[in-house]
Amino acid sequence: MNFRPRWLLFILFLLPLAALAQSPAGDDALTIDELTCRGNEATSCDFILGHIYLSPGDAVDELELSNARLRLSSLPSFSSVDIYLERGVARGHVRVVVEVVEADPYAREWIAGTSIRFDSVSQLLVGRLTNQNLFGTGKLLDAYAFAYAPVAGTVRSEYSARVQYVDPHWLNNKRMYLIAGMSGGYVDSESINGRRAKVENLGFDVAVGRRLFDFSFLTFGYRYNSYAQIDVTSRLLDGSVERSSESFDSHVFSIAYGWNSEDDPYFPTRGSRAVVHSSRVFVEGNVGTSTDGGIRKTWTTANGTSWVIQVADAPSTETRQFIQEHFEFVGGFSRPIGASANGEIRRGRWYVEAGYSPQGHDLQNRRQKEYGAKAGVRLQTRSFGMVDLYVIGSFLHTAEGAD
Amino acid sequence: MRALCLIGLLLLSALAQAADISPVIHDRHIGARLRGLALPDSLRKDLRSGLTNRVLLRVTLLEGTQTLATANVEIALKYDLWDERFGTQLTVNGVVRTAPELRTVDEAWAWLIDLRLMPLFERPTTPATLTLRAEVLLNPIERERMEQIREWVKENSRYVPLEGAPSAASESGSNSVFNRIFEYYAADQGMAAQWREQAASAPFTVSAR
Repeated sequence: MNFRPRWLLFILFLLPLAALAQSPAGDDALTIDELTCRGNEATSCDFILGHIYLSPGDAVDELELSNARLRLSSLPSFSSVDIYLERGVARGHVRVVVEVVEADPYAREWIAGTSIRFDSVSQLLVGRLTNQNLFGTGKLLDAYAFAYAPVAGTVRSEYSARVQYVDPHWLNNKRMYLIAGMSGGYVDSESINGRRAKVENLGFDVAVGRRLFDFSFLTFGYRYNSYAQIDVTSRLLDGSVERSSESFDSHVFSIAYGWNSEDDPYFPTRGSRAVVHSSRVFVEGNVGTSTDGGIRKTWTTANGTSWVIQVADAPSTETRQFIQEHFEFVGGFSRPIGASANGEIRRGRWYVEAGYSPQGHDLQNRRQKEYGAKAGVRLQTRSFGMVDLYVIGSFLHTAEGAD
Repeated sequence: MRALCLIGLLLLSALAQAADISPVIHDRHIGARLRGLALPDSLRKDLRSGLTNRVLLRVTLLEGTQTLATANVEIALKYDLWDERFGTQLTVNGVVRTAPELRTVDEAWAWLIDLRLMPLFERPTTPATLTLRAEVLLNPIERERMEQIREWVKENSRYVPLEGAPSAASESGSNSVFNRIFEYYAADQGMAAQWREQAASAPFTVSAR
């Protein structure tokens, strides 16, 4: 038999594990009088004890307590977790104490990018703040502001903000989730065929979903756009200008299916993420349907380089939109950056991506294609949270001759 | 020169902190003395928890690079809250051995950082130059359990921006313990642990039995 060393180690270690099941203090079962929490100020004790599948009257199950400690330790809510026993009302009776030190419940994320696309220069800035332990219950309150400001060239600007409440375990069901949010934005965008659209929007939404199988999810959503204003200006070939303007409210029903098997949301080394999203929009008696989505696949080669391919939109997870400036078709790689000696940088990656986006047709009906590249660095820092800095550039290729 | 002195001092302090294993040869047997394990400070608190703490040692006897024998040593310590003493269990390859009476955490700590394990191996029948190597795991977690925990983490922490990842952005002490366990798990080591350490002896010569 040709065992590799690690398997030999595993098998050898299994032998004493049988003995491990026995308690060194004998078989006297301890009975739990109560379970209690210490050190929790923002986090409710119910939330903490919800991670321990034992109740008063049960026998102490050391394996379960050890698992509960690991489960609690995996949460970002705590900087340390200890579980220990104290004497109970009588010999053989104990109090189970869960002592925690709470971590900063706020997570921060920043994205700053300089965009030199074929016809414009813009600056992108995104700030995101998430309370990961709202009211000490493990719910989330997430807010972000997004600005894509033109610096030179064709106008392509976008400003938006969103606040959302997320219950990752709706109705105490580990597979159900609920999202309720409010968002608004302003977009002023000029396309290469001379069409300029200004869109203002404010709306409220609610979605419920269920995680399926190992990595999939299904979400049903409704959004009420209480206000939408669209102004469109088009320059025609003969030099004339056409203008339209409309204001309305709308109801949007949507369904999304996706999966996420990536091993890390910010620094994935393997797995895939995908989502397909279909919406049905009702506007003053008219009905429209739209479908979009995206897919991303990541893998890592033996030298530690992670490779990625992405098609269409940057796929979101079931409860979280990811903000990323990208091309329609992307291929790239990233390399890890180690932690800094002073602890400011905890980990990071630098990355390079090449991409292509079809840009439709110009006024002469010639097909246009955008080719470009993006390079950046993503860092997990002590002071600022997650920081993503990048430069993206592209050029436009116009196919000669009409289609 | 000062830099060299500093490096020297650092090396000395590192050496001073490293665990040391040495052979104890008695009659027909070879044992081991393991000193200076840099146990994590958190273990002091864990020892008083009333729950069982386990230390696994895998001691290997080698001749050159060839493994002659391996001994699996398991130590389980559990503090009795009423009798205020430790229940201690020591087994070698599944056979229970006599363990010392330990009443306080300091006594338990002192025992763990100067472990005398005797006997572990039969002495070879011919003269040989041997070495001992030890790998020590604290509170190990078997792979199946780690799979269950990983499944739980996957189901329960997807949204959190710093979620699911072995290293969270606001990495805390708690997370770092979890991450370390996960690293061993991810490295396909068969078994993960909160803490592990290795030690190797200098070569030593034994005469024939």
